Amino acid sequence: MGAQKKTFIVTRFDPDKDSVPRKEKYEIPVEPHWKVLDAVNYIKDEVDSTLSHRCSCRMAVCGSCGMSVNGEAKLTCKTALSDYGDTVEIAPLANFPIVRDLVVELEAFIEKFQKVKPWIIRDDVNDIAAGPYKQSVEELNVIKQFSMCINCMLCYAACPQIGLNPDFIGPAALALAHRYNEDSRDRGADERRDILLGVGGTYDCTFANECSEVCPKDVDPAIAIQREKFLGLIHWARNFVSPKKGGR
Amino acid sequence: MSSPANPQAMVPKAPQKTRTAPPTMPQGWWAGQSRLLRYVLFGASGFIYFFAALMILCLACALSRGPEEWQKTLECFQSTPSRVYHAVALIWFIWVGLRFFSFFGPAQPRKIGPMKSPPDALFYIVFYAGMIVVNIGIAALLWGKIL
Repeated sequence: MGAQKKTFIVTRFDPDKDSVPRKEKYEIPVEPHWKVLDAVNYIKDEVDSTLSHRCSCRMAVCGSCGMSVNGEAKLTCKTALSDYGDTVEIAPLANFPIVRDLVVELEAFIEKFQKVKPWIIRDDVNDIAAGPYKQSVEELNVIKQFSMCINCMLCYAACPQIGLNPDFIGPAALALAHRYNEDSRDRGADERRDILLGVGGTYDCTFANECSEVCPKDVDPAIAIQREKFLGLIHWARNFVSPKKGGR
Repeated sequence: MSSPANPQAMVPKAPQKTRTAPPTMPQGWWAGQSRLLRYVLFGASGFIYFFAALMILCLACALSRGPEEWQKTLECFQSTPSRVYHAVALIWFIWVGLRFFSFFGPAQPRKIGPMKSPPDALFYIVFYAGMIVVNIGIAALLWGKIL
């Protein structure tokens, strides 16, 4: 029995030759158990070695194989090819400048990511002899979901605000800021507040919820951002009533 | 290709090493995909709130000018366009509420701020009952059944 064939319409862009991205069609044999990434790898290995794409772990951990599959941002190593019909359209992630073919420019994300100070901030540092900072299971559960982010950028590709508002810090970075703000070991919420409540911060999110819809790890960045909005509001109200007790 | 995004979207501040193709909006923006269309309609609810706020201001203004003006304003609100507006607003507010709260907690426990959320059933009953009571109250006010 011959292998099933599918047609892939892949966006191509060569910065040396093309002025705008173009589409190229590939018809390849596919296996029933394949993920979308397997098909892209097959095209690269067997059909057209000039195709550029990113991938690494093939098990939804590294977050590098995010692409737009039939118009929706997907982690291609986690997306079954059998979910799609005979024609599958593969494009680079939306909202990002395209470096080449399916590879997008991620530097701007790193800039936004660093803005929210995604690390534990403390004034006091325990002596090494005192051992690690301890955290209970309950305290961990508060932040666990938001710490599962693999920075795959699907949320940035799906968020309409990112494409409309270049200042918007974006879902993954804001969710991570919330993760650190809620961390029982962290004392940096005040330092992050100006960023989170300022231009491009949480209030620039218009709750499209697309980030949570496409998140392959169920991080639910949209809810993290709404919580930060609420906490920002509480902070403002506390400051309004009693300026000295404005801290989180 | 999808429609173009803001050319500065996700463009790094530092100069780029290679020429890049400009970013595009998510495919289906803004009405080609049902989720995005619902989002745009959700955003458009701002117009409804705007008119509702105007109506409340009109009522407050009329109240300050005495009973005759108040009666006139109420009569004005009982006009067909006003009733149509409220019917639309009633449906819209409930739909916006449904959409908003349907997002909460696919995986996380529902919690905003320091308070723990009530049980799911109680939460939904109180929320929807509250929405319906408020809307019926406003409808009755506009229909001239109360006051």
